[in-house]
Amino acid sequence: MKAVLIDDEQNNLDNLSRLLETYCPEVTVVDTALNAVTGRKAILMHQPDLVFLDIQMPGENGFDLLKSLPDSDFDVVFVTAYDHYGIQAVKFSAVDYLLKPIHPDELISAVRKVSGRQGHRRRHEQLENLLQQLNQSKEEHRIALPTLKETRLIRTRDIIRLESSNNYSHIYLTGGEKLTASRPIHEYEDLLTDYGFLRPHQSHLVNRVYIKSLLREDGGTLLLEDGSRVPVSRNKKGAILEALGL
Amino acid sequence: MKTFWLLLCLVAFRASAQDTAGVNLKEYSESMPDDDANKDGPFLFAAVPYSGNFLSPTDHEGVLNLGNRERMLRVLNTYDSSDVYFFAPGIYMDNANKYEFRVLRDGKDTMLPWSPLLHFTPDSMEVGGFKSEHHYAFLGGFRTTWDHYLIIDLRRRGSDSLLSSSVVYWMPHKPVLENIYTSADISSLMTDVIRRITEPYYMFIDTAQLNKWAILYQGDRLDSLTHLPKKLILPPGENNIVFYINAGIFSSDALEYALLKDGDTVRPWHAGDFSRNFYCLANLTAGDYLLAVRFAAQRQSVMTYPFVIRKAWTQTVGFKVFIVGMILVIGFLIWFMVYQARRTSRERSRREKLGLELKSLRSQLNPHFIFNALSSIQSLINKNDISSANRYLSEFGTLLRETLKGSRQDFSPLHNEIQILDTYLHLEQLRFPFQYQIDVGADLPTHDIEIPALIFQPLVENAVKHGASSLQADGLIYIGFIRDNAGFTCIIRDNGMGFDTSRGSAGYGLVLTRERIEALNQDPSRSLHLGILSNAGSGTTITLRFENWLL
Repeated sequence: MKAVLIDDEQNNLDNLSRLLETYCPEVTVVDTALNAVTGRKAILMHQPDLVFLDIQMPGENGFDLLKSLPDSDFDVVFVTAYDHYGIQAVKFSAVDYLLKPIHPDELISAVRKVSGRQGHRRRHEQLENLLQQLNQSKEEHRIALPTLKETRLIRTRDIIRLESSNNYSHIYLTGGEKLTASRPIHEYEDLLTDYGFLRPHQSHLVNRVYIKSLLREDGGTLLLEDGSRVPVSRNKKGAILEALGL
Repeated sequence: MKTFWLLLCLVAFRASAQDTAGVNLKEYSESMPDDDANKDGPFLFAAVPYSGNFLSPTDHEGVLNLGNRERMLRVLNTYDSSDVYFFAPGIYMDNANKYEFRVLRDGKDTMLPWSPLLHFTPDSMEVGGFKSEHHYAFLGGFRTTWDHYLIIDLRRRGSDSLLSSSVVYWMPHKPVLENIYTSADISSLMTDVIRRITEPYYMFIDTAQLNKWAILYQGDRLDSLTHLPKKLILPPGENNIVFYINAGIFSSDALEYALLKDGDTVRPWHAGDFSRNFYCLANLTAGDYLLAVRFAAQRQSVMTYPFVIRKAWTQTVGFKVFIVGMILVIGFLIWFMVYQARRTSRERSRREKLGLELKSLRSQLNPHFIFNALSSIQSLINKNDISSANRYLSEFGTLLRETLKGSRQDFSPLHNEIQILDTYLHLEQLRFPFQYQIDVGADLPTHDIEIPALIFQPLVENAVKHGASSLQADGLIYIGFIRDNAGFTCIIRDNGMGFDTSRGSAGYGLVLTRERIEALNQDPSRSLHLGILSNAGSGTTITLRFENWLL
């Protein structure tokens, strides 16, 4: 596999090169770049299978670079040190990423995922989704929900609620469909809080636009538009009442 | 006329109880005629009820309609509403048919027309100098209303001239208040008392006493006759008063007084307690008083005297309103202070919570640990153990990232917290070759449970620092998470040196954890309980119980 590494620090480029050499010998680093402009040139010149891309760079950032190459067919692994906004967006679309300092096991795992997709020869849907929604209003955003069979991209407004099953989450959609995603509910809470979701109970995450009423039964129950009932924990009640403006 | 008043000989009847007319004369006094009276022929005399009063002379001249009787009669005053009895010495059973008598009211109205004398005194009765063996005529008992008088006339039957007449006046009579002494003039009271005792019949008005009231009261507030204040007003402290009543009485029973305060009787009618004329009222409380004095013989004629003992300023309505107002104000202030204190304490607990977040950040980014971990990684690099260096460095990055996140959030999934512990202990193993084990109950939904971020960190740091570090390869740390009904318990156990829990000099980590638990237990829906079991030499077991944490 041909790889291009783009990062604004030479040390990081050297380090990642050595790590790949050591732990992922199937990857050949064909070029490195210290900014988006030279990175674009390198990509266009080498047509790599895989690009390791730093999100935060002076001038054009990693996202900007990708948007300028709409029809390319390489895979991307984002690499970042500590970028809350960028990582949120990446996680939201379930795109691969690595955090610095890079753990060798995580590097190996990311490379394996990409090599598994090799042969599709097109940029995968989640990455397209990520790049799209950087320009979209929140209402249009689609969250990537990795199920056993596939990764589904679902508009947040189409999700009524999520229910935890330990490290899995059941997701109930407006059409009556139910998905089971292989991520724990607290990860979705992190991603969906900005989209108007509330956590009335440790096992439940609810889209507030579908809350019909708050029932007094059992110390507090939310009645949702689809007729389902969601319990409100005593320790969450205050926050929920406040959030609902009650 | 004066000669008629000269001698009023008052002798109580000490005769036997009953005469023929059923009259009890025991408590009567007889009035005897003076020397000028015709004692040869029949004449009249009266027995008036003995009232204990002096029969003070009262000049009725020109007031009473006595016709031509003036020369031969005396006017007797009675102060009692009872009958007055009339007798006629000189008339006996054998000559009674020669005489007749009548009774006139106010000298003109015939109360009893000319009538025969039919009753006579019994054997045992002795009235004055008239021996009872004479059995002289008894005319009967008569009475009229107050301020009226009766005239009894005696004549020979059919004659035009009167032999004898007797006049009795039913005299309205009130005691007179002569002086008042307060505790302010106790010395003049003593002087007066002594003088009145030594010279009981001396009538005088002390000019010093007159001046006393004239100084204190304006002229229109003084009674022009008694020269006393029309209404006595005394300051709060002067609550002992002596009233001197001018009444010619022989016995203290003859005079009664009552005391009313604010319209209510505080002392019912009764004779004076100590003296006939001096009424001593002691220890009076503030109020509007009315002293009422009357003769026992004539209870309808009451002398009243009003006086006031002013309330002390502490007893006034204004003062009470002020006190109630003060109580309300103080009550409000107390309420406000409690409210403020509660608000402050809420605010403080909120700030403490914020403060604890910072403290937990500090404890988490314990510089000692950070730089030792970095130093350990450096040694791996220098040993050319590049692979280990890479892994540990990455884990160190993860730990820093998670702890930074944890310090921003109040709560974090149990799953993440367990991973942080794992990462932390793994990094500490670089420094000390101890063993550790983390057991998580399979029935514990670690992804769902949210717990206070980094709550275990100081406790596990203690287990490493005080427990496992000194034992090197023999050191052992066990961390277990066990579910119970609606909560779970975390057990952190080490086999280190332990410590004496009673010493109380717990390390910073425990103090911090306790403070944080206290803040978290403000939420009544669930609670945290920290348990420490430690013995010197046999390790320490910390339990942190999360009660109702799964609800």
